[in-house]
Amino acid sequence: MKIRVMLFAVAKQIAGAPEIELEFAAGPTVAEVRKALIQLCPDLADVMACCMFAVNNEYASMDQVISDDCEVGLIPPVSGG
Amino acid sequence: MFEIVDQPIDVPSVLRSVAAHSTGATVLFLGTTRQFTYGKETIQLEYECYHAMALQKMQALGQRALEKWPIEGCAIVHRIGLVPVGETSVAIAVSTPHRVAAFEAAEWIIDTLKREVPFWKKEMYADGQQEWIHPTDNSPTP
Repeated sequence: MKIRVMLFAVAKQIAGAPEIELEFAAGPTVAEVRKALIQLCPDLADVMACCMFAVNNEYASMDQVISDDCEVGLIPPVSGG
Repeated sequence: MFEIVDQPIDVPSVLRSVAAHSTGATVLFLGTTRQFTYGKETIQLEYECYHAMALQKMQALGQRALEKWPIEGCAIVHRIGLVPVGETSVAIAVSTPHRVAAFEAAEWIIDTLKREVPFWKKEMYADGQQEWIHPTDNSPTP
């Protein structure tokens, strides 16, 4: 199954793309998505040390399982306001 | 009123949206682009957001505030795109029967928005440098 991860701010700048598509045999956990992202784009490793993940617009824990209809976002530390 | 806009924020309409005869106090917070931060000159900020999540989180903030204070009206409007020095990037208005709750709620909403809601700012400095701001626990400007 394919999981697309949306990227923002400095993560988008580093990756050079607004999203990255990853392929998994079965529904991965957030931790597995994180690991696959770093393998595909090692330059993201530093910033990902302080990133959160969002699944369907909610902050997700590392053990949350992702299905193919989930929207996944990589959330660097926020700086609105 | 919970909105993300890409044009200057219409502050009078934000205030109108929280007006009610039952209120005795309205607090308006405006976050604006500051020219100097620790001596470094900013020309403008560029904001981006995770739109669906940010809007949902802004609405949830309004709901959470409503559970904490006797709020009659609550508005959160955030601007994205380029915001030059002196212009407003975020407007928060809260109206309540008495002023203490309005001050507390407005402060809680902006503090929580800055910690939780997925907006990001890029500083565009006078010397041509650009930098995404990603605060960590030991960042200098909360």
